[in-house]
Amino acid sequence: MTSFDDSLWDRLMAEHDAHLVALGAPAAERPARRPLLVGGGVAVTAAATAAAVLAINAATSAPPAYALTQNPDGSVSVTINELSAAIPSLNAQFARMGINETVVPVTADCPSREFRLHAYASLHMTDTWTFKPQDSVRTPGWKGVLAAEQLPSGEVAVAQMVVPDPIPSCLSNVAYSAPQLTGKTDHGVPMATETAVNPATGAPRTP
Amino acid sequence: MGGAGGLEFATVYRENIAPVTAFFARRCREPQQVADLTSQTFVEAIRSAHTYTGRGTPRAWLIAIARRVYANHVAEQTLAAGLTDQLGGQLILSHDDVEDLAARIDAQREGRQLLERAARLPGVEREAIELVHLVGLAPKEAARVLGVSPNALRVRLFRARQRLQREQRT
Repeated sequence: MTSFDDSLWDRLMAEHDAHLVALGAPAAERPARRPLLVGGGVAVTAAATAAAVLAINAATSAPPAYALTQNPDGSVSVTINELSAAIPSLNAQFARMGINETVVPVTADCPSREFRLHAYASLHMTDTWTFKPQDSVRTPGWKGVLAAEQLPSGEVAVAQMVVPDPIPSCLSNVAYSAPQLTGKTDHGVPMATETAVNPATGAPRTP
Repeated sequence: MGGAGGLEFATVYRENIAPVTAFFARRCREPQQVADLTSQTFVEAIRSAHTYTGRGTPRAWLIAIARRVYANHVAEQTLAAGLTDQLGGQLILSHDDVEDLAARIDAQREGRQLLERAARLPGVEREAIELVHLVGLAPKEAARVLGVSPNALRVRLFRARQRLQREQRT
């Protein structure tokens, strides 16, 4: 397979559990996923395929707020235990290391409600998230962002994406219902396939 | 891998990513569009994998999905030109991906020329030519994709070949 074939397959596995799918078989039980909801003019890039949940229980033996490792291949592995405590120091560490990414908190009360939902911001369950900084795919006028949300369970949900400059101080969270294909396309991203729901109000919202 | 009793999607992907990409490479000149439409096809295939009955080959099933994806894409472009640019959501491709897709678009030059020559044929005949001669489906499979009987497909294919040969001679 070629570069694109491999890239697309990685994305299909990461976002749609393609490796668990079989033609003609009943839909398999798949790991529970909590879609990350990203709003507002945010274009979730292909890099968002690497979106992940860092399954960390913040209550266990007072771990450090985060752990970060730069790997020989240029990728970065991050474990976040306590998001609010980790964000300032993690962003400072990124700056010191020359990593052009900014961690932005995802919250229910963020005023940036106009964000559109992108199906590609689905998540994985893993303890440590490894990502490639987005230098090579950066579009002028857009910035690399790690949207991160502390979930009630203690887990931290993270999605890699790009946003228009300037980087917002927060992103709004919007959960969405089970996708219903409409056949519409949005440059490869299923469009109008989700009915977004603001978890704070429960009000239906169309992306 | 794969669900019980079914054909692994990984295998289907590996064996059909090239013809599906080529299907869009014959229609689009931009690597980005080819990438996005190919991605959309496989996403829809995953979501409807449980509906695959096994009556046709996976390739024919995927090409049928690709046809719908492209038809929707065209309709969307017609109804709201530029809408996708406003909405964003493009997949971001690496340089290697772009070069890879550009090469595939280039490789479909002859296929595009054949489609252009067939443009004046009735729709079913034009698509029959593509599905059989470019995608490599058996006439029976092409008939299933196009929703016609195998006999009707063979007749259409015969007429299409004759017309193309006549045009080539003139």
